[in-house]
Amino acid sequence: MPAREQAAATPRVVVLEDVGQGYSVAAALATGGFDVVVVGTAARAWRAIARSAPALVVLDARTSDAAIRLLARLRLVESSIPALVVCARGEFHVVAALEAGAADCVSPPYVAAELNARARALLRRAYGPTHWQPMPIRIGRLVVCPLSREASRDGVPVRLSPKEHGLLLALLESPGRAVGRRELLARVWPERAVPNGRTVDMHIAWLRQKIEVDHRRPQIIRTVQAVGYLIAPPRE
Amino acid sequence: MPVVPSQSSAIILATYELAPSLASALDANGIASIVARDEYDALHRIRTEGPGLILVDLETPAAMNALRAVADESLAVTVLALTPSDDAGAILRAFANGAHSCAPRSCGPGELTARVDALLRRPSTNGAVSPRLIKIGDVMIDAAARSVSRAGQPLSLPAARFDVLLALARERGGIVPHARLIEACRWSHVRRASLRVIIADLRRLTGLRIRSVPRVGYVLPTE
Repeated sequence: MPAREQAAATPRVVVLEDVGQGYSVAAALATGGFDVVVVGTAARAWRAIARSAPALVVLDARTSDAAIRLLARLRLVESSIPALVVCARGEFHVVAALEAGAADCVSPPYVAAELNARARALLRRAYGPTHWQPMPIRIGRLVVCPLSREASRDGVPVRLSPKEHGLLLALLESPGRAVGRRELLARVWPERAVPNGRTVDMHIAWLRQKIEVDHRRPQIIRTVQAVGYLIAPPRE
Repeated sequence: MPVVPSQSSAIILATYELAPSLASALDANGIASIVARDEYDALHRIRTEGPGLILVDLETPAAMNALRAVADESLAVTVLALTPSDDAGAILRAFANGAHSCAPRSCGPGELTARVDALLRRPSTNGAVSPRLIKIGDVMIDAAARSVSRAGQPLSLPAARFDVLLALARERGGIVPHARLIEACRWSHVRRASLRVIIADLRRLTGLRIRSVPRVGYVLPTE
């Protein structure tokens, strides 16, 4: 059996989701190291697929059936690009998506790690066990590698602790949404029996000192009074 | 001679409660299924009978061992893991151990049939869940033979060192947490304190630049 050369490419993923509802699917995939192209309509998705030849298509079918129609259109032209569909909970929706040609389906509730694991499994199945280079996430002048915990600001390496990196990824998975302290505690400190919101505040303060240009006037991580923190969504 | 996988036959490794309903759902879909007694029986049947599919119920005691063995031997079979509903940890462990897809244990026959159809209509590039041979620079790892060579010269690695190296090689470029490395050592009992010694040995023996990520795990860089 021949040994496979370990190619180091970044798989491009076209994501169709209702961008008016936020970027939950695209943001989750970005934290998995995918090169994400996010579009809001089926027509734009069709053009993006034709233009960028993605390795994978991820379609959010929770709010409309445009995703399923696009899937049927892709299968009509015998496109071999695997499709992962995020569908509403319930057997009916899962079966409809799979019968329309989805290679895999995921329904809420799911965590970003599960979405990424399913996407990687589809890539492995479609293209073989190729190793790929994770795509860094850019937030202004900050660049974060989601898988290896490396980060840099203006090209200068920034050392993030595991908890700081976890907090940053938890916020990046839901850009534009205020993430509460309790949710951050549950995500980043699952081992902690007695939750304490001050722990989050302290780590956010340390994180800001490392990643913000002026940590007293934070531009990346904003405080939402009485709730928690948020990272602004990407601009279209 | 390798056995050619048949898309119309499946092996079921499931609890006594779940196996009959899985078998009847597959039968209704035209897929002949056999319920394996245990993971050894399942693996033997995959090697000799060449089924296209195996359903692995994660509630069976040795389910993860079966998944890892399929991956290590690079067996040409599609793996669908059945996980407890909404158990993200179990789903992630199944994918990390080579499952092609996961479905909830509680899914109905309609969803199971649709998922099986979706898996089988898209044959994988080589059927294998992971490469049997992994080449990193001048280091060659044979997962099935459990052997490692450097510049063509065989290296003698104890079981735990081999398992840690294989886990790092399979997830190159990403952090492999301490817990997953310990879990990967399925032939020996490894404590977290021993990992540092194992990694030091691997760096010395293989020359690979395994990077430590303090308090998290280790990374084998892609370049």
